[in-house]
Amino acid sequence: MWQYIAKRTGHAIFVMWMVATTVFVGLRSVPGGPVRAMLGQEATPQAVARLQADLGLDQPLHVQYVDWLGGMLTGDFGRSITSSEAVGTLIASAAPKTISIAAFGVVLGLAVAIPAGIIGATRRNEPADYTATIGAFVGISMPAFFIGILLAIVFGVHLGWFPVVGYTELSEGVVPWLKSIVLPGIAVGLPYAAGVTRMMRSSLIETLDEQYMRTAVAKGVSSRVQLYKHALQNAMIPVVTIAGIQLALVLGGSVTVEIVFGIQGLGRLLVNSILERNYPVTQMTILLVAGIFVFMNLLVDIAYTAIDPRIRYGGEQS
Amino acid sequence: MVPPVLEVEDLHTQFPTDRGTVKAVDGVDFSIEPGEIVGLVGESGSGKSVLAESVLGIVEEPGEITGGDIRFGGESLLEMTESERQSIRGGRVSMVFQDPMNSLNPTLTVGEQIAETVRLHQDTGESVSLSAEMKRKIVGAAKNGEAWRRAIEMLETVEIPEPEARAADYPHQFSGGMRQRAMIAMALACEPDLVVADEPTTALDVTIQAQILEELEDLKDEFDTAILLITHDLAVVAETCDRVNVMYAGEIVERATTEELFENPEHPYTQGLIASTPQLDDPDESLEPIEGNVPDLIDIPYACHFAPRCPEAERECFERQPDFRPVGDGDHEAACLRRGPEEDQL
Amino acid sequence: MSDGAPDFARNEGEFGSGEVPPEYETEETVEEYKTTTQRIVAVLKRDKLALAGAVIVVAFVLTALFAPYVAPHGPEEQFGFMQEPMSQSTGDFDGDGSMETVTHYLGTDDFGYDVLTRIVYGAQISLLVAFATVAFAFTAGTTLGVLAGFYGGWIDTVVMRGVDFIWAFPTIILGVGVIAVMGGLGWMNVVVAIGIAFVDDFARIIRGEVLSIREEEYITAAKAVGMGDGRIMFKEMLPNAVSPLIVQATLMVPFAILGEASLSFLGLGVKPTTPTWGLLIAGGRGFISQAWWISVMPGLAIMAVVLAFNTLGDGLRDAFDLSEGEVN
Repeated sequence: MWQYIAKRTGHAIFVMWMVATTVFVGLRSVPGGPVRAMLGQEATPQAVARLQADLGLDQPLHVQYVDWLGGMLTGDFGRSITSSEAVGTLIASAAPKTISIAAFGVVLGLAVAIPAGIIGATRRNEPADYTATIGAFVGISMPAFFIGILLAIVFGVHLGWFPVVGYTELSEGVVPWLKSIVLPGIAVGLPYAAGVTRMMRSSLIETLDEQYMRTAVAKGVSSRVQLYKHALQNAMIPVVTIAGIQLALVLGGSVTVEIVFGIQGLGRLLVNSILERNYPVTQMTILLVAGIFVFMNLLVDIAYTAIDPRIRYGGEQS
Repeated sequence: MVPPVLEVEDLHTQFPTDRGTVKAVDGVDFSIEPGEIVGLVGESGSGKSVLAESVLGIVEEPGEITGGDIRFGGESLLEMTESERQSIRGGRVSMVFQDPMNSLNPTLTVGEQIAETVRLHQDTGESVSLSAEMKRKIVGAAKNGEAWRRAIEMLETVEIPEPEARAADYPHQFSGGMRQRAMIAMALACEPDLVVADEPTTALDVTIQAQILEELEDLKDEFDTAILLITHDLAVVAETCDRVNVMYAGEIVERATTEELFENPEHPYTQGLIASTPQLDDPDESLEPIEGNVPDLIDIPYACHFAPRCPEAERECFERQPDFRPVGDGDHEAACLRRGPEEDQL
Repeated sequence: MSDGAPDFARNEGEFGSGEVPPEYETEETVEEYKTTTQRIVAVLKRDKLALAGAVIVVAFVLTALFAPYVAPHGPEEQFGFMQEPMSQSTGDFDGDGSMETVTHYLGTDDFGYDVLTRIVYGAQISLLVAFATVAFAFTAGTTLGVLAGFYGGWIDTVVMRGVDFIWAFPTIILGVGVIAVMGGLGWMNVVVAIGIAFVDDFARIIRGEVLSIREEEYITAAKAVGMGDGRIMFKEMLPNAVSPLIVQATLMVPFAILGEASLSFLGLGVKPTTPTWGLLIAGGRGFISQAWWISVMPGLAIMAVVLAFNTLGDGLRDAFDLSEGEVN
């Protein structure tokens, strides 16, 4: 098992390095050069040259690369073009907001999706199943930001239960904090839950059809014990896979949802930095998001060791 | 007079499908006495697996038993409630399945899977409620509990080395032969009166097959269990069974003791089956395959199910249901209009 | 009888092996081979959801193609501001001197434009971008898939791993990043930005087909048969690939629509002059307390079209008998 974890961690680090390199190359390949794009067409050659020197973009490519990588490892993430703040600071204030919303969405999503999927599988074609299926369908057919808007209209504007704009820091109290992340959390969590529900349902249906379930019946095991003791863990294995893949939806969704709810999270930061051609910020934000993504997938890989004994313990011993 | 362990009387099991009703078991009678090994021979499509499932009461929906009776130790299984049947299943009647690879749950330890049966059917004082089972799943079974110890005992009985350590292993850590032994251990753990073994050796290597069969026989003696051995492999039958029933297309066509059946097969199907099996002591004899295919079990319109493929078929064979006639020695019967005492033959 | 092989067929019957009296002849039922069209029709008849999906998809395509004729008004025709759905305006709108009353089924927005009209015109762009995206993904995916399958080895590994990662990565963020690199707005950038994320699905399907003909080639090489078989294999490969490709494309269109809507909503998509659905939603965001319909109506349109393509795609997958693993 430890071998497996080490392998997956090494893989994750490799992927991050590839992403960083791609980001590095990508942002330096902007048509006309990043500096020209930042300053606009009318910029004087001197202004361009000065900014280039400032950003170290006049150095040979490999030197830039080493500097840049080295900088990241030591915590120097560059400065924002527009505000001269350290990028690290900007990100540090934006990240917790995005992470709170994403985490809330995932937890809520799983808490709803797994029971819904189980019900769907055990009460096939009954009203409960139809409700869950329809809910899942709806969840994946609307962009997250639209779900956010609908929620904002119903629960924010009309019912007034939750704030429609802004994020309240945890330091100002747990309940206000929670209230500010509920609506955006549901908006990113619903499409996520939809995917997980479908997989839970179909995986459980398949599992119940397996040979070893017939053995359990032949032993006289009660149906509830069959479901929870014999079937569920096996059915969860593909669900863990999907739960990991769908995390991408949560991250992607939070970008647009943050705009809807006026939250100054990573999504806002990313979009604004692109509109402003603020490349130092753009590249670090993308890198961070990629990092979160890779890390979450690593967690999923590790979760397998808990769920699938075939991964936890090696192969045959005769 | 001790009643037979199992008595199947005119059993009918059917599956409704889009194209019609599949009559998988179409009027089957047989019985098993305590301590016997009875073979049930048939090709795929003969209905033998469905018959096994019917005896256990685990026929999959939409199939159902539509007629006849199954009596276990004199009591009718069909008249019991489901929970009564559930308490018999795994305890007094148990089943060994064909594919040991997929018949064991990959997420439960082997020991736990055996211990579970013990807890369900014997008085171990350990709870089988849902919460107790879930706790057991997460934390593991109580290692000093009676059920767990019994599981280790059973693993030892089926000659699995280091049983205490192995009980805590998962099925994927066992080899094929060991898995099948574990399945047998699971089936015998509660000392059942009857074990139904559905192709127990088909998925195994030939060398392991022999071992497993030998063990089945030894265990039968040790536990005084009757075995219903279902297989398509004549060699297996010849090796282990006391008596044999031959099944074709949902019906039993011949019954006899093993020796008598192989020495003196009477039903044309049995004869064909044996003729199409390579004989070790006569390797140059040419094989005579039976022409044609196993029939579709949906609404067979003619009487004797084997008639279309039978070289001896007469018109009446298609019209009159063949009844069992005494043939050969001992309790040897064949369901064929062209067999039996002279005056009854076609 | 104990000499080994027992006798078989002791007597000669009237009907030998395989012979049956005529009245007992059973017909063998063989499953009919249905052509592709027949199967699609059969599924549409059976699966009501897929049928509904097909209807909506057709309506969507027609609306997009004939927008100027379908739309009740012009996209920049102004009426009263922020009027509610089902409200009416009276005025001389067609310049003929007489007053007409028109109904704004979905209301008007903050510029006074009729929302229904804007949505109809928005369908044009959404359709264009979605199809272009799928076409781009298909082209790029096929090229990469053929390369990976044909060359194999490390090229295969590198290409497929890279494509896999891109597919798994959040689409919107990837899209945003690509837009950043491409340096501007416009529908072509959107096509590339979203299309990149979907290259993987097509690449896999094509690569699978290439790999299987490679294997067949080795087998035929062993039999030393000539060119004729190559053409046969080509004829057999393509039909195999066509059905998963069609299903994949159908299922991809809704994702492309969602992706474009998201990018446009962020202001990073199509140029703001053309009213795509994403932009319409963005435009109404500031008014959700007073005029919720400005954002909600286009959103419902997106939902309907996405659902329609999804149910149709699922139905097609059924018709072609593909498992869920083969087509994502």
